[in-house]
Amino acid sequence: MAIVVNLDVMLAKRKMSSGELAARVGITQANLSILKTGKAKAVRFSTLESICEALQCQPGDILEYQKE
Amino acid sequence: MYTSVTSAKVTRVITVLFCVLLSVLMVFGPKLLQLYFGYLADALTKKVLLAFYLCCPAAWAALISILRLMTNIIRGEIFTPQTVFSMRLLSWCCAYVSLVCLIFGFFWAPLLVFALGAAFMTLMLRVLKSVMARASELRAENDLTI
Repeated sequence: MAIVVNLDVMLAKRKMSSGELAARVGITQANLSILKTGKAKAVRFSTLESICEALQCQPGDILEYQKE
Repeated sequence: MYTSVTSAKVTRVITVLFCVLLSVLMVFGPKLLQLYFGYLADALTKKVLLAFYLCCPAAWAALISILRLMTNIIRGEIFTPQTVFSMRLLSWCCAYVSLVCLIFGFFWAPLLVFALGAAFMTLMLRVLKSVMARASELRAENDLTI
C-alpha cells in the first residue's frame, strides 16, 4: 500500500501500549490493529485528531507516502 | 410483528416446499407428461421430458442458492461476497433454463414463453447482483474505515 501507517514507531517513541492508545482514542484494539497493519481503507479525521492528541504528534508522523 | 427475518423464514419454508415439489416432479414427471401428451406423438413427450430433466440441475442449484441466501439474511449477513455469489449463481441458472427452453421451444412452442420469462428473470437478477456487489464493496470499505 502506498500509504504506510507508522503507529508502531510513534507508540515506541512515546512508550505507550496499543491498549492504552486504543482506550485514549476511544477505538477498539481490533480496529487499532487494522490501522497498524495497514488493512484500513480509510481513517476518519476525528480518529486521526484523537490519535495525534494522544501521541502528541502531527498526522505526518503517523502517515507516510511511499512509492509502490 | 412481521419483520424481514420472518419474511426470510417464510421464503425459506416456501423454497423447501418447492424442493419437495421438484423431487415429486422428477419422480412422477414422465407419467404426468404421458397423461398430458397422451394424444400426441411419443417423440414430443420425450423431448419435453428431456428439456425438463436438463433444467433440473439448474433448478436444484437455484433452490439451494435461495436457501443459502435466506439463511444468510436470517443471520444478518446480507451484503457479503457469499450473497453476491448466490445471486450470480441464480442468474446463471435462469440463463441456462432460458437457453434450454429456447432450444426445445422449437419442438414445443409453449416452452418459448418459459424461455422469455427465464431470460427476463436473468436480466433482473443480474441488475440485483450488481447492486449487491456494489453494496458489499461499500460495506467492506465502511467496515475498514477507522
